[in-house]
Amino acid sequence: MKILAYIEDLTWMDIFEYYFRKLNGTKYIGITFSKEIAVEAAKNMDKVYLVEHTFNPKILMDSLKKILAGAEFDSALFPSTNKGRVAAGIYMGLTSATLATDVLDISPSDAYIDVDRLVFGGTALSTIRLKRPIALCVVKGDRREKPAARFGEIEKVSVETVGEVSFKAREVTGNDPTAADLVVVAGRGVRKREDMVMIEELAGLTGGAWSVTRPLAADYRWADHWIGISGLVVSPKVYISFGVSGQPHHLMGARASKYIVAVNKDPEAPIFEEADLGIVGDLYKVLPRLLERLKKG
Amino acid sequence: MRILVPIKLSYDVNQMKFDERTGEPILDAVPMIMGDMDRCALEAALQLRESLGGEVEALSIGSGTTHSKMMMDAFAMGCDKAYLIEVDQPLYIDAYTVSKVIKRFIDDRGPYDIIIMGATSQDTHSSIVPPSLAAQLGLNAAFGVDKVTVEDGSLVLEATYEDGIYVYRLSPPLLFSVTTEANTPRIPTLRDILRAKRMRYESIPIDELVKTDDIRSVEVVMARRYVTPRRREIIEVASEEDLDRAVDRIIQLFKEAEVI
Repeated sequence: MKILAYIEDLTWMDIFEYYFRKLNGTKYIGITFSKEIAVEAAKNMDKVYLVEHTFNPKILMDSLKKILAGAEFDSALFPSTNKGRVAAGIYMGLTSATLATDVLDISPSDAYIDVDRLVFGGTALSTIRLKRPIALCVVKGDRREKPAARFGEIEKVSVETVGEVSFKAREVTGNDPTAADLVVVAGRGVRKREDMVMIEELAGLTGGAWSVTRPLAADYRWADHWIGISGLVVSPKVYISFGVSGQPHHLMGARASKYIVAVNKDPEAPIFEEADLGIVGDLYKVLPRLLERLKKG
Repeated sequence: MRILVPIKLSYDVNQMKFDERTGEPILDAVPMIMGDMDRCALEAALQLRESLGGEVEALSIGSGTTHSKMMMDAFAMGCDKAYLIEVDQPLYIDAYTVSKVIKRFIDDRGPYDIIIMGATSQDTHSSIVPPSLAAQLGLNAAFGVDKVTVEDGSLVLEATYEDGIYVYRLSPPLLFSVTTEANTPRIPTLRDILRAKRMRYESIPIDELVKTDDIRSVEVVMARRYVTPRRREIIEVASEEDLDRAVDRIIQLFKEAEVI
């Protein structure tokens, strides 16, 4: 079983290893856009194709076409991220493989593979039966295996450049919700931008990070990142939100958290359905009191 | 300039309903709508028509009255032409087949200069049909675009991903998909709606484009409400004492999780 994996960053290596083994993989091939990633990933793969270029769909298309002309894969693995979905969609278009996204786990048999995946904006879990060849966009969860040492070679893929592309990296200011043990999230219940100071203060006091829901980032521009299926998917020990109602697309970005704490005035807010601890109350009372208590120690 | 906008009739996931006993989704009770991102795709096309000239054509796959209403909605927004590829159970067709059907339609009726789609559908939220279609057409493309501008005949397309902002400058022919950040879709006036009533979309039987044997369907073994095991402890804050108790519990949980 020859398996291709799109390596967006190295945090996916132990997740892909789980699927590689479950699919009875024998040859493990990677494709990535970064030289640094290629060097590291090659230690745990049989071969890594390196496309040295800023992420560009057309270049990915042409590179994959080149790779597929010389090799066939039984399955392919992608992360359920924005770029991962683009790469998976392109792979599907070129190979006609059956593709499932938001995959939580798989149960392969000889004739088919049962795939557990999230559907309807993450509100429902569905098992679908796929025939090989397949491609999977997998979710970051607790299905992991330690990558085996393989020490493969790196092969550069070069294709003609088309169009212009520029990239501005998200500023890493020490506030990285994807790496923190505690993530404080502000929702529409937070009335003014100035009030974000309290959210940031809580993150500061606990050594955590903060983020917002999509409307606060995209409509109000209070942050350049948000938690949700279209933004960041986080998996901290504690996710605590203030004034977040819990729309399905937001919760998909929060669900991998160990504990979920929600503070919201509205007892009907859907987030309470998914919280370990739900505080039905005014965030403007709960948050200042919490800060006061933490400062007292 | 010929602009094509493929749109999908999808479940409104904000109004999902589940059987209390079995946890299975009750899909008949869930309203179906044109997704917000599809609406933004139409709006982006109409704005490009205003600046570059040409025609905007909408395309969908399905059948029935809700589907017809969506096509009328596309006309009311300002589409010049619309096509409905007729099939009974569109939501059970797999994503690859959907992209292949659109590809065949374009082979047949195209070429189009620009193809615009919603970045993702409201219900399956896979985002894989636009890149699959672009790959089959071998087109320049950008996905999940939040900002569209025209500069000297090229399109400047900005997309925000997990690691930062990507800006693509591409010339037609090209395909791109938009998010709800790209624009605010226009709301048709009564006059638009009345004008739309006189317009007719063209129906195309799906087997004119692909062989029936080539239509792959999704085999669903099981579907039920997704519930994560959570404690669901609720504290209602009605008094000062409640407030202290709530804050105590939060701090206790922080300690338990070893974050403080």
